[in-house]
Amino acid sequence: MFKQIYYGGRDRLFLRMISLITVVGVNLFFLPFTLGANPNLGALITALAFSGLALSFAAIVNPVISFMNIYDTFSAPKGYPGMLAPVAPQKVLLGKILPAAIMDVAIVGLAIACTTSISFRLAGITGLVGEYIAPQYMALAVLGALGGYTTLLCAFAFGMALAKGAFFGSRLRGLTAFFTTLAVMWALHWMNAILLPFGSMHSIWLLFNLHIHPGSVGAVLYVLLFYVQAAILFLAATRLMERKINL
Amino acid sequence: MDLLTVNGLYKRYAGKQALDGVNMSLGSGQIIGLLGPNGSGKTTLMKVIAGLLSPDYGEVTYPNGVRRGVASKGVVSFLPDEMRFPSWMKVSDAFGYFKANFPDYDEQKAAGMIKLLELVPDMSIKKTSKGMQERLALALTFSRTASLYLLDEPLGGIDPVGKMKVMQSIITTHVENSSILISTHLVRDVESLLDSVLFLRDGKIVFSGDCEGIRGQGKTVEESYLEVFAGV
Repeated sequence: MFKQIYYGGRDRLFLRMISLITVVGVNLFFLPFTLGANPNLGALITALAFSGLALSFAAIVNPVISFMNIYDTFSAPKGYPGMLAPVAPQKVLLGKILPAAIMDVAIVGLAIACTTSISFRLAGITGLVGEYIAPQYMALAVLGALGGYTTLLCAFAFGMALAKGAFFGSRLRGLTAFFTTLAVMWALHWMNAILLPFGSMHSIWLLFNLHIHPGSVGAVLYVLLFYVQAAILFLAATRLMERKINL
Repeated sequence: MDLLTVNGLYKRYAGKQALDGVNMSLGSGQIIGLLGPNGSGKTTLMKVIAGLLSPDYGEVTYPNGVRRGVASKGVVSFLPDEMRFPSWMKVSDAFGYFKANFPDYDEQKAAGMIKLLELVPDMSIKKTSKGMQERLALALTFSRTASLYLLDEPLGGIDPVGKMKVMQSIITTHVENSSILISTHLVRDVESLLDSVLFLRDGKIVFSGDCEGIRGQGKTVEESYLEVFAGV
């Protein structure tokens, strides 16, 4: 079953690989070279922006592929055999979507942790600010990134549930899921900005950008908030799927 | 005792009343034809019974107090008019999928169906013909030990040899403690299989009766169908 949920065929595995190679490539080569050539804060922010884009790419491609695979095997309306299975939606979420999400988080998280850590060390070697590689900062940044990523996945699940569980069941449903996900993330972004004192976060990668001081209570709260939001979205998605997919 | 009872079922889509107060009951050990023209509500009725659609009003009663929804999917084996498979799957993967997700999957029945319908386990599904994919879907449906089998247009898009094999598979699956409800408008093709018929028009059952009774009046089921739907 794992193969069905996560692998989903060579073309989709290839897409996953491309997304991860992009992350690794950008983080390992672009970041240190940019910083090495021009070691100042502006260059750092630019480099991190590209790194963030690469991460966002991987962070979006992977769950989309997971959800497509889950849709192919489990979702409702277009005649896939999974719709006939006597499986409760909670079991689909916990038994299929969660393992896929954990795998996504593990793979993308590992790529983030390893390549960024190496990049920062390389940047440190080139003479750039040593404070950026403080271990507690890296740990918090990785935890924050994973939390944000988990929230994104749960927002996808919520969007899917709202669109009757069909990710690509029809254009209308696909668009509903997509825009719901965007709306949820946008709402969370502003809610976080209002709730926490250190201002807005434009995406996960900005955690690397020292808007948050790694030692502050606010930073820890911010990271925790991601997980609380993910849990709320997950529960909401479960309830919606229970009501809408399986009647 | 009835295997399935449907009481006052209503279902409306935007601008169309798909089911308009359907009442019916199915006994055990029967092959029943759900016959009607396109758009008469056959597929909607089957999906409601299969637990895939909610009715606006009305109820469906299954054996042993099973409730409609997840639980009813465990006692009803439904063949939709189109069953899709992920493109990477081989025929054997599809059977593996059913084995993993349907507690009533029966390996012996599956093996029998593979042989009867001449399926090739190692073949990629996307490389098989449409007719072969329909045979696969039927084999998967019949690989379960369900109380009720719902077949939505099982003969659509199948060549004459394939039709013969599908009919054989229906006869092979037909046992005393289960029933098979076949929805089709190809009346002549299935006539010889049927014990009784339900004629559906505009979401209403307009005729129900056993085939012996129809033949006793000197008519075929097809003639009776034409009489009801075309006034011939």
